[in-house]
Amino acid sequence: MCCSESIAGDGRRETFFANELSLVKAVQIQETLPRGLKPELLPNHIAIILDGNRRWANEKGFKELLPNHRNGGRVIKEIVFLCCKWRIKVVSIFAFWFDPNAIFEQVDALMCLFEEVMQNDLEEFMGYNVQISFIGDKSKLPKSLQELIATVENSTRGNMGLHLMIAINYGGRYDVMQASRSIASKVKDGSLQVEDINETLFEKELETNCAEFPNPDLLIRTSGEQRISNFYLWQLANTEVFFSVKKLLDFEEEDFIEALISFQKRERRYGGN
Amino acid sequence: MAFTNESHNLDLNAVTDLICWCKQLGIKYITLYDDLGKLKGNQKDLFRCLDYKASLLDGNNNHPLTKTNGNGYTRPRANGTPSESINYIKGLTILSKQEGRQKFVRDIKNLLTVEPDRIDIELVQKHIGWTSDPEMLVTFGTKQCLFGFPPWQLRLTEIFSLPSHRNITYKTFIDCLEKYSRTTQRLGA
Repeated sequence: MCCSESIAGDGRRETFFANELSLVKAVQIQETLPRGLKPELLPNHIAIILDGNRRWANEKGFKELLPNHRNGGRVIKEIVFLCCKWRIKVVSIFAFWFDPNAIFEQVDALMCLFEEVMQNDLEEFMGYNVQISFIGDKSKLPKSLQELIATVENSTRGNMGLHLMIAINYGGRYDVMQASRSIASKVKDGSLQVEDINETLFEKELETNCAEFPNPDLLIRTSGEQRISNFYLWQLANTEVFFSVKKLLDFEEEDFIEALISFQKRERRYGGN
Repeated sequence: MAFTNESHNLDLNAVTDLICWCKQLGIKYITLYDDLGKLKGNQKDLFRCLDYKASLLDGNNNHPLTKTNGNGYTRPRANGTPSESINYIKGLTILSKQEGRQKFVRDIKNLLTVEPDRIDIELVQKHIGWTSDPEMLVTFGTKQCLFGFPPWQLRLTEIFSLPSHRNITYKTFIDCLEKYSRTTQRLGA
């Protein structure tokens, strides 16, 4: 629940109006929420591992993957806009990460598609007031994509709605490593003392620190695979995990709602604290 | 194996069953994790129970640590120490939340003497990595959550969830391993 800005010097009036606005917001969200979901139990941050396009194509007998990836983008957009409607604060999407075993042509096609989506859909995201950030090692991406990423981030920086974090060429171990490197640099130049290093400080060095809620409350992975695949290794310590058997292109609003209901039913306990 | 929200309700009998089944199936390395550290705190009892199970499995009814009651079942003496169970303890690690992110931060501090530009994934792995990352993680409990399990090691680990470790049957455990055997890793985009 967020508080409104002060409209009067009287502290009690501020609190009264802040609570009233929060109540109005909760009622508005409740009106848009499907049955079974409670606004006060919605996660602040949902992370999604996109998976299953290739297998979906194989099952259906499609040889070309690109149309599937394009349709996958549409599924993701639908989920993101649902999250906007339901006032989820942060959504993270694990797009892809480079691996030596990956087939170059597929990676190349995927990146072209990514550029296409970003160019065509930016206006729609702006309409939903979505702030978009990209995390991961962007230095290895094509120049054109790097420029597009910068444009998208700059264009959406002032948006105050949902924060969409797209992990592109991101690895959980890479993130932890770069945080370690950053801390080592700060210790070396004297801006940080060794005794000040703790978990909280370490988290601030991770790429997810750009978000108001950097650690996901809920992780959804499509396609039935049950692993993290080097996504948010550090950030998932206390995250509820939901593995959906549906492949990405079969993942619909009702499946997303099922994941949220499952999340709400589980009593949340953060590792004994 | 991670006992997520069952730390308050651990059944050492069931835990040792799981250890013995793993060992009998040839699994070399077993890590037990509960965030509250109850297993660590009860290591003596755990090893005593494991010793008893080991003696039953090895068919040693004359084990000095056991005595029979009227029903013919053997049970351990009160002050038993691990002996026959040495093969079952080898490769066994018991962890709690302290070995998760807290330990990682402590280990990272050791890296601070290195030039920052030299820090890469391999170097971090050397400082904090285990002998090998777990291939499979089984979580027991109603919540499907990692509860602070050491983060670095779970990069490609297959995660399975079972509602409880209490009263777990051998068949349930084998079903889990069979699901694992059917998984396929697809790396990359």
